[in-house]
Amino acid sequence: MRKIDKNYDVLLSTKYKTWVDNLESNSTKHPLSRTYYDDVAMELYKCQQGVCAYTERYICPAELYESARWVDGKYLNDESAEFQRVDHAGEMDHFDPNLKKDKYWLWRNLFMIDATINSRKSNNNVLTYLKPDLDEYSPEKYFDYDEVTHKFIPNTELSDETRAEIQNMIDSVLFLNHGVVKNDRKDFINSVKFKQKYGMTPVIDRFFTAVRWCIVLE
Amino acid sequence: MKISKIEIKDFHQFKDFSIDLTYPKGHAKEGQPLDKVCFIGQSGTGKTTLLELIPFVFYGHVTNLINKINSRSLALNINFDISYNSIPFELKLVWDDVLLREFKTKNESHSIVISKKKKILIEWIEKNKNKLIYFPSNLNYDIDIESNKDLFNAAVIDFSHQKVASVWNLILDKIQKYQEEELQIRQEISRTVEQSSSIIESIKLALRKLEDWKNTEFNPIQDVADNCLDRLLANFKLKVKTELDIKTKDDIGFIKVEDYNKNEIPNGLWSTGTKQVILSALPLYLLKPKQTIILFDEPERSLYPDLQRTIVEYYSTLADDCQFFYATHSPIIASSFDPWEIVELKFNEEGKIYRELYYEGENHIDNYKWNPKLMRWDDILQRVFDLQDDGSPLRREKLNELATYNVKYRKLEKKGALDQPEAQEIIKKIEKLSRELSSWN
Repeated sequence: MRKIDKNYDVLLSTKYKTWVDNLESNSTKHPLSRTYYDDVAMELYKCQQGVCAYTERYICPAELYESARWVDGKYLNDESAEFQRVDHAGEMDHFDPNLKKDKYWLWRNLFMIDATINSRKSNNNVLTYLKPDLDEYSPEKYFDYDEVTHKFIPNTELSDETRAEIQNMIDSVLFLNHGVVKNDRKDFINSVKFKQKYGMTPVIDRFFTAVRWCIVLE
Repeated sequence: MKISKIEIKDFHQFKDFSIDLTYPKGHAKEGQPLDKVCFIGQSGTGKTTLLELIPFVFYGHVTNLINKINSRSLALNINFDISYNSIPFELKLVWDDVLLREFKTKNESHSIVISKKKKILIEWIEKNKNKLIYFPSNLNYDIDIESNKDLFNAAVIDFSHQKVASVWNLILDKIQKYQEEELQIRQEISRTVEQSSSIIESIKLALRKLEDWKNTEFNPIQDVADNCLDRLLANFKLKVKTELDIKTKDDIGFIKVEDYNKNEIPNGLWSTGTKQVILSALPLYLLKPKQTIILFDEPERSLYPDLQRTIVEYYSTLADDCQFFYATHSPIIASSFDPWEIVELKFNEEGKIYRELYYEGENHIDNYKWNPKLMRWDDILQRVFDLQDDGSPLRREKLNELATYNVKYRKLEKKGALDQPEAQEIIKKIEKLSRELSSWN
């Protein structure tokens, strides 16, 4: 949904980076081994601030991707910590499913998304121009938000054809308006408004785009 | 006897499966076994299997489903933690040429052979006079009374094997005795009238005797009507027929029902909902279960939503200190449970079953994300039953249209163009869609 900065140059998982760079420079098919799964997943969560790349649901506690978890370029699970490596509700999404076969661990093709959405999304392709880490991508270009129904819709200024294909993404691939997602978003926005009204300081840790479009934050 | 934990190591879709069935921290009954449990989950997640494992593990009772599996495969795979008279036991199935049930306390252990020929009941089972009761999803609606001694001899009353209506035998003798006494008093009145028709006082006295007898004598049918069935049958504008004209036990038959104009409704014309209510509530009322386990598979069958809403609480009132296990697909049934009483079964990526936890962090009553008792029906459907759509695909399409017009209107408002004809057109469309969708936020 919102633009995601996935700067490859600043990754803490340097061992993963060396490994995948080596595979790429030798044009080697990526193995399916999960040696670096946690490295990649937690780096992605760091870039995405713990929310689903599409729905912006909160799926990973910040403690799990604190920089201190990386030691010598490798993500380490802290078994004494309150949150363990598996204590998140996301799954790894391959933006272009066709790249899974040979370039399974390609950084630029990966996002963490809500597991329930991933199971529905399956291997459906997302429109390439909606890839959240593209330089030219911004949610404003393609989406509007209706505060009454709490639904995302295609930007009303776009052509009918483009709107139709984005609507299909919203409903059937990214599931931005799916029942529970929409209800959670509505509840969160209303809770932020409530806190503002009564002088409390709301913590915005999810649904960043919808909150930004609906609420003037002080 | 209550179950506080079920563990299944490896059996069909269950692998390293463990469910805690105790009240969470912060609850007045913290750590004690739950009084009622509700299994929910997609078809195939093993709700009925879990229900039917209970009588098998306790008593070696083979239900229709358990009969289809190799019971040896259950050995070393099933463990129950149970509580009997507040004493914790561990109960597990082991294999030593035959399937054994092994009971363990801290100080002792007992093994019981599970075999039709060798059934050894240890002390605590013998003490437990009340029987485990199982209401399957396919209750036998046949209401012919038949004498079924097995019903009362077996350790488990399994209504997938036995006719539910046979519990009526429990009070047939009482009804007959009551009817015979009433008949006797009425005959006395007739004789009095014949012998002293001119003496009003004698007739009055005889009639008063009948009235007094009725006021003091326990009337089993009136009791069933007042304390069990009439409040449920009221949903169908029906009630138990209490004025019966019967002379022998055979005339009594099964319970009779009439409408509010006293027209008897023949048993064959009862609706399936009426049968479901009578054949589920009546056994509980007549058997008066105490400190046992009661299993209900799909209690919602044939019941309209308003009745589903009340049925779980109602069944609880008919039993004394029992543990109920329900398996259901109904969000309305689920709304009768606290979140810690719901066991939602889900498939993981490998097709194995896990329990979805409704709490975050520690298992404390304050850490539960939602409470079905406090939720709207649509919210229960969406959050608990994972029916994540708002409604039909057509509703979604119309809601998308409404959202689009709302946004277009807001954009015109920002431009200061609400006086344009386009804005008026949009308002009309918003009004029409809001009416169609009942969405006037």
